[in-house]
Amino acid sequence: MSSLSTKSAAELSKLLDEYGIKHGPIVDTTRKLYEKKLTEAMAKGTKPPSSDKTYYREEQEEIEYVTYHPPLNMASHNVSRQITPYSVFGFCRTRRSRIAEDDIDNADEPIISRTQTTYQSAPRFRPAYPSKSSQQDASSVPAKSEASKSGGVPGWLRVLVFVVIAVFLYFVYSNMESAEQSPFGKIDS
Amino acid sequence: MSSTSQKHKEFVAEPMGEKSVMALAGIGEVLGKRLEEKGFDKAYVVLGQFLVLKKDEELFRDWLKDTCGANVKQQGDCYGCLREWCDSFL
Repeated sequence: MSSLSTKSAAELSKLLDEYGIKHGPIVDTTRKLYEKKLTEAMAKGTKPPSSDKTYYREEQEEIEYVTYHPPLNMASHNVSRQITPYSVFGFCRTRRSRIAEDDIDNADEPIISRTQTTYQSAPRFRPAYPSKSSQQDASSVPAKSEASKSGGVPGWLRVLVFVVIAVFLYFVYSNMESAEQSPFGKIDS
Repeated sequence: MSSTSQKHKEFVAEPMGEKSVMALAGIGEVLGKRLEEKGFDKAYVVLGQFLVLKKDEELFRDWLKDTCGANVKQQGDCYGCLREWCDSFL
């Protein structure tokens, strides 16, 4: 490789472009600087590849927690807006990698529609997990314990919270139903 | 409010005219002397270099370090000073 100082300004400029070094005109005062930059770049061998490198960050199993606010005003709300029970089990997701995000999104869809349409009967609250989202309650427990190991929150505690909230909601709902039957029973002049 | 020095404020407040290179923020006596020895005896010559380097921060910092041995803070001060001056007057 011939010495950089013997190269013409145009050649230096071309070399700088090859190495992807942003530069201005090569004049007396800037020449030395660019020569130095080129020698550094050549020593490192940092020729940028023509293709763009895309890489996925493989994230370790992360568990997102969404704070759950108990539905205090459930009794007064229209029951059809049963988003809140979904949020209970929507809160934990394990992200294997960013590529799999699509799977998570797709898996969540059927769960939402199911809870919204089946509110007449007691809704079966199921945790939404990306890998097995269909009716596998039995497998949800081991899946939960799998997920919780890295998170630190015990799986059984979550199940317990689930059940308690589900029972509470069902209780409230059933009370509402019975109230509708005779709303004006008490009012009697 | 950014932490610019008094020197910086004074420099960017008006056209530099024939100000000495030591009027630049970050350039004191020692660095100023070194720059003068290399031929950069006025602030506008350093401005010229700044412009030839296309006002690029990294290039200008590297150049300043090579030419007069400025440290990171001095480089940053000088660059900021010149850039702001250019924003106002160029």
